[in-house]
Amino acid sequence: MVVKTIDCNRNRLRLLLSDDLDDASRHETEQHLGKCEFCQTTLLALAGEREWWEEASRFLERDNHDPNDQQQQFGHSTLWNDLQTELDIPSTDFVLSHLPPSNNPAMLGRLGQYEILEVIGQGGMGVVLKGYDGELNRYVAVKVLSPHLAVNGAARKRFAREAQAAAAIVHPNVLAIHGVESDTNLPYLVMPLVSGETLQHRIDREGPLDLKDILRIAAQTARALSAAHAQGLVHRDVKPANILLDGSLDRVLLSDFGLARAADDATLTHSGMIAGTPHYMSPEQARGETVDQRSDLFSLGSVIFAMSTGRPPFRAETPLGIAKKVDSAKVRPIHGINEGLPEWLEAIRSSLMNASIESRAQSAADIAELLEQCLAHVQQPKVTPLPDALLRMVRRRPWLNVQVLMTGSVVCIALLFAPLLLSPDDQSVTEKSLSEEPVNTEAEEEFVNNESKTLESVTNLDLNNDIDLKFREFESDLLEFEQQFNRPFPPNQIPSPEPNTHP
Amino acid sequence: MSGTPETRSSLLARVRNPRNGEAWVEFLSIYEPLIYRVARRKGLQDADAREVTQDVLVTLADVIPSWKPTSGSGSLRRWLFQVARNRSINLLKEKSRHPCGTGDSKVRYVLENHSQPDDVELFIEEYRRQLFRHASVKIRNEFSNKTWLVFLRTSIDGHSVSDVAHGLDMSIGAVYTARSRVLARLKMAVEELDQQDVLDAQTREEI
Repeated sequence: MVVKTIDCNRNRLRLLLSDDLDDASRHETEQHLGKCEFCQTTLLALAGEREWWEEASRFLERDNHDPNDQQQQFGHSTLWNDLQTELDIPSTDFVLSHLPPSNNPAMLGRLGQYEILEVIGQGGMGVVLKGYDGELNRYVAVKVLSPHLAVNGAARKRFAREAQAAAAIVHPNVLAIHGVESDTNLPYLVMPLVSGETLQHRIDREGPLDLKDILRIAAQTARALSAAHAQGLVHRDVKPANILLDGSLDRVLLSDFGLARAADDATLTHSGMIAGTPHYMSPEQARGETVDQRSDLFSLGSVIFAMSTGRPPFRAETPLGIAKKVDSAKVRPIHGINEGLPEWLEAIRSSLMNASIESRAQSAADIAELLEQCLAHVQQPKVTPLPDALLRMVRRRPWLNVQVLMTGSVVCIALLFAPLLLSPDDQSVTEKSLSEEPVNTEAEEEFVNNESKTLESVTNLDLNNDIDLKFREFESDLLEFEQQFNRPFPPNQIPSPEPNTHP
Repeated sequence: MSGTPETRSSLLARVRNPRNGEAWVEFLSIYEPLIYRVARRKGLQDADAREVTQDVLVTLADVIPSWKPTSGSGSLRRWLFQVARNRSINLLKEKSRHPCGTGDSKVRYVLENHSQPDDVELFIEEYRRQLFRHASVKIRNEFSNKTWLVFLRTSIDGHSVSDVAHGLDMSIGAVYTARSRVLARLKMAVEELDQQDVLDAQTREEI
């Protein structure tokens, strides 16, 4: 029997259908949907009337009856293409069933010189096994390329080439490659066995990380990228699942260099689709264009977003969807989602995640240095100031300028009225609130030093109350104002926006 | 007999303007299988059906530039159907004149009943099928493999939602969401195709 309950909400179902719910509401609605027949029926009806479901079922059925039928030529097979093999046969079982046997019955099998002890994990790219290297008396991680990738000649060649190039990167933050074997049925990579977890697991487990960890992990990832970029390599798949956190040391290891490319070769030829999660991709990569090292920097920005908020910046199922979202949507500032974080981190994030390649941060080495200096500042704020480079970065962001501008102008007005408005008690309250505020931009701090602390705190409170709502409205007006006078305001504190950025 | 690929490239070569080329490709990818299927369902064997398809498309390409929506024959779809039907009947007649052709009793049946009213329904049914297929190929890349598989299994193969949820390690709610999203998008794509059925005048001129 179909019973409507108080939790049923047609409008929510509509939003679920158009993918316009945030993660939490989507999860909640789907949970309800799992139990509520009424909503199940409603959702199906919202998607299309009964005739549409019937027609879809009738018209899209498989053509099994006549293998010589021309339908094959007309591309209908794309609908069913390779879905079964990719999703139904677990790669792990396939790999294990194809492992040559070992002389030692306690082992799962043998791959080259390595005795295979157990399965460590499975990813989109392949299966990771724990192996033992008898000759060198050490345990290793053996990553076997997924069967659906391994059957493709181009993918195998690419796999070998990229792995050899990656093996040449020797850097403390890059997971080393001990060996590559691409000529067997099961092509594989041999890497050191790392204890610990991936950044993805950490985020799934703990949600947003704290500022120090964000900076530390981002800085070390940037160092790894810088080492790779120096050799002309592009990683192409920088994402939390490829960042390993060494359990014993505070060390970050970037893995899977260039493998995304091998996967692209295989799946593109198979189905015209790019493998893996597209959530961290740069827009140019999502559009299928040629990418260079700056694409990795965009992905690094996406990783910073994920560490700061607990989720990726864009959610879409395919690269095409990501490309659309990156181009059209503005990313919500991370300090608007996670209030414990400073605005300057948002400035770093947005300098990396700039959809325009030319306006984006250009060098992994520079970003690594910047992040390290920021980390030093956070660890010892009194000894180490925020780096100058950060200030320059903040300048490039007009809306931050505007906020500073507004702070400036409101302070000027507030200065006039302050004695009338504030009793001494109020002042102590606002000062207390200020001390709990996140760190402001350096430009603002500088400003604070030159002005009355009490008054700054008043404006700060005003601004923070409904800043998200009102800001965009003021932004254009103020910028226009600034442009009209063709000078920064107030001139002694606020840097002028650099020409050609954000016209 | 494998006339279709060559027909295809010679038909495609007719359009010089790449922008209109796309419209023409889309048009062909709907009507080529459509005509073939109608011919098959009228009782023709594979090779004959291909011949009819090729024949109709070539005629079509010759006539389309001058075809006008107001020329009395109604929609292009309807007109196309008439051409396809007449061509296949002519072909069948020819075949029956030569004894070496098909001696299929269906041929006689078609010849004797060539103006059945259900021809129209048949054509419309095949037209809808082609729209659905074309639309689904078109939107395929907007969805992940998993979402797509959920849709195919629940809506086409008729598996139960709970089986599919279990098999793909998803919640019941997520399965409902996935299949509904695909259908909603499919519906939109089919409606779009249906509306742009008739090639615009400029495209027709350039064919």
